[in-house]
Amino acid sequence: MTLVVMVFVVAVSALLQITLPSFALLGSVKFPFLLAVVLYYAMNRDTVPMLAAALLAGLLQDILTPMMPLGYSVFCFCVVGWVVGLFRRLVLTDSPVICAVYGSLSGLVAMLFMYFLLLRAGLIVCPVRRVILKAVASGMLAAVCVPIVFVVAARLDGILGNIQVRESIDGLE
Amino acid sequence: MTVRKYLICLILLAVVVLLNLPLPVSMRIKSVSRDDFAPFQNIMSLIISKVRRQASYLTDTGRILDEKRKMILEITNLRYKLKQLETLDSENEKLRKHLNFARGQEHRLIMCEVIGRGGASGWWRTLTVNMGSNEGIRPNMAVTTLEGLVGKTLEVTKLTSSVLLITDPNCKISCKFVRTGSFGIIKGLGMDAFGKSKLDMLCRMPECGADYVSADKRIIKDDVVVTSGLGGTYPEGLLIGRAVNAQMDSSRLYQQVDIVPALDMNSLKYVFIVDIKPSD
Repeated sequence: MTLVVMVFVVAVSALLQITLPSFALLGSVKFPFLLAVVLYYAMNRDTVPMLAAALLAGLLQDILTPMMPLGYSVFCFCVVGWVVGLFRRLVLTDSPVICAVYGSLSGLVAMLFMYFLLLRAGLIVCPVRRVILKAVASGMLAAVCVPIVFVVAARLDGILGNIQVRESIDGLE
Repeated sequence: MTVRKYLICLILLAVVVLLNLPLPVSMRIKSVSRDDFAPFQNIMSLIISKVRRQASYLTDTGRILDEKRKMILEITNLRYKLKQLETLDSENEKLRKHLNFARGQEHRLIMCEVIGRGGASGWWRTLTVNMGSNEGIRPNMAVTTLEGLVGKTLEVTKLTSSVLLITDPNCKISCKFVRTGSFGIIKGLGMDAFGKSKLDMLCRMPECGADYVSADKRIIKDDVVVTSGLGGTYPEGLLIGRAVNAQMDSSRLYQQVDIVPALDMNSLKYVFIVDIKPSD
């Protein structure tokens, strides 16, 4: 059932990400719904579901972006998801504000990481100040997307009985 | 625990394989998968445009009536011009026959609807349109509207095509300045929110730049620039935009010209793909 919810959430997020308009003043950055799904699995689940979500979400992002070689977003999402997963026991995912702040930081880091990957491959021409604008914009948009995706995915997981009991820091739940 | 480790290794292996796929295989996978996604993208695009249209009905009634009046006037003018052009065309045809000239090229326009902008990542300035190789579209075909050039087709699947906009730095076009006849190469600057000065934010900014424009004839503000027809991708004479500023480059042999595209790329709804058919 976890896989069913994951596939559904990733597909809907991809659809929203490609269809919702981007804003020129925000560096034409798209709403990072797919990254938000990876963050949800990184902060709420084990490494395997997180990597599976990163693989699915990254693959869809690569497929739906012309000029993007396959595997770049997958690699970026896997690394960001893994780093976020390291701190998951220190973050309360029930609080939308904390989710927004954490999502915002992750959005910023993911955008910069992707920039370095694409720049290294010689695929983009982007002035540094525009990259900074894009990174900040990505952080802002992630702050909006992440809490929404977290609520929707948690509801779906709850309906289908996928919610796992999380251990708190001191071992009490 | 062992199964978990195997799964992690499997996923990481998949990532490595994806990163090292040969380009044709990678393109094939992208093409097939994007086609599967196209119907959903169409539906989403339709829903969003319907919502936007409903909202505009509520807010823009006055503007719509004003636009309707303007369009009626424009249609009348265009019909009048078309009549004149028909006469000129038949005259031109007769003269060509007399001089034994072959007709240059025949163009077929394929009308497409824009169903996505900027792909899923927003790193490149692209559009996705709702027609693909099933309608005869191929990569590297010119994309235009009545107002001006949009770009060229990039990746084509059976049901969709992606279009690289002229404002993207990866798009390079051979151009010609109408007044001076000078040739040059236009390249997108990819700028969105930052111009060359703060005042640029108050007007439309140059989103393209022309390089290698001969220094012999000085380019001035508002000089019209069109496609030169060299290279074969773009037919000759498609409007690209107008010059806003020209300066000599470091070699002092050429001018560098800032160009404002003729159309606003953010508000495109329908575009035409130009299918150039060579004459017999």
